[in-house]
Amino acid sequence: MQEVLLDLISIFSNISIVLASIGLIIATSSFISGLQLVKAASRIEGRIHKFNGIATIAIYAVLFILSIVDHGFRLWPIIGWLSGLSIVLLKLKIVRGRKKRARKYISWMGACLVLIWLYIVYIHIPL
Amino acid sequence: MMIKKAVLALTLLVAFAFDAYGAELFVPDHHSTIQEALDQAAPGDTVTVKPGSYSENIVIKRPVTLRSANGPASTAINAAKKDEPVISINDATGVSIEGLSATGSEVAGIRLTRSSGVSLKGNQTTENLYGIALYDSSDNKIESNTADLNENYGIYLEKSHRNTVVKNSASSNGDRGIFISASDSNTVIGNTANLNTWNGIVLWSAKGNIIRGNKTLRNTYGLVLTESSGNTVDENTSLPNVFIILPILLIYLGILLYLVQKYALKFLYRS
Repeated sequence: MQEVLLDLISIFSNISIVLASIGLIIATSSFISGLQLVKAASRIEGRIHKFNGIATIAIYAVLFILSIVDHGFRLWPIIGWLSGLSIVLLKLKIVRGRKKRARKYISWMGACLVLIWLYIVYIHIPL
Repeated sequence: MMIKKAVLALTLLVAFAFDAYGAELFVPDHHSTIQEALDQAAPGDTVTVKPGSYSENIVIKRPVTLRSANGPASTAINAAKKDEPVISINDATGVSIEGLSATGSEVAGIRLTRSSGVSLKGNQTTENLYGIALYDSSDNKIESNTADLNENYGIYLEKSHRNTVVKNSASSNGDRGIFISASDSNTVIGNTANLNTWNGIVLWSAKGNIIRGNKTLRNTYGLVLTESSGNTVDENTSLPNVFIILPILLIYLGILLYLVQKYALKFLYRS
């Protein structure tokens, strides 16, 4: 147990993993509030979802910039980051749009974003 | 007569003592190139390379020690001819190479052919086709070397038996970290083979090897055994506990954050 705790503490040795962890925490909260919003419109859930959404996009952007600063312009990482960003933008477009058929898939897209954050955490854990 | 014998015995003793330790040759102080120093060295001698960048392809056939004065970070040997290894050890026994950097070969950083009793310690073999390659070479020790960022394999053993490969780094290679091919009874302990494009450690047609306590993280496949039998594979790590515990912990914290935000906002609106 002590060994696992020490491992967990030693992981947070760089800024990227700290930011990625915060991103996953906020994305989880955002996902739950989003699910509540799909069930029924609520002012509180709406506020939580909006605040968390903006915060995760900001952290995502900082991590993207840090990745370029650390590793330079490499094709596959940039394609990966831009793909994640395109999913975020697509979700925003559907949320703001009025197509009811597209809205059916909004929960799935939210789950997709949580999975993206899980991958971001995994990839940033120092070896 | 007794005094003469005593003087003779003392002289012989001193001569043998010097012979046992061997001479030390310095590059570039005594010799302008490393190969020149090695050609001049007698068995048991040490060639010490001072910090700098050297462009050579070195061939060693005698039991000598080749080492750097200040470690691999400041002593780099670049392949003069790219189609040859940077350092070749051919048909030799008892060679020792310590703390050198070997880069830029389209063959290998350090290549052993039909050699035994060789010690490779604390070397850095990066940006070659293979980092360290052994062919028909047995009973050698490869310890604490860095064989990262090579085009194909970090450490490659072919038809090489009873070698000890410990505490090396074979990461970020274009194909595999450590590849043991048709080689038996080798001991591979405490190595790190992370971030290789394909596999961390591969055993192909290999028997009776001990693969223990190695780290193979974020490869396409961590540890691969093909057509191999009788190998001992234990205590290796491909996915540490923390990789599973951390995301679960963070998701729990996310749920907690949601509840905190919800009740905080409820409290705010009410008041």
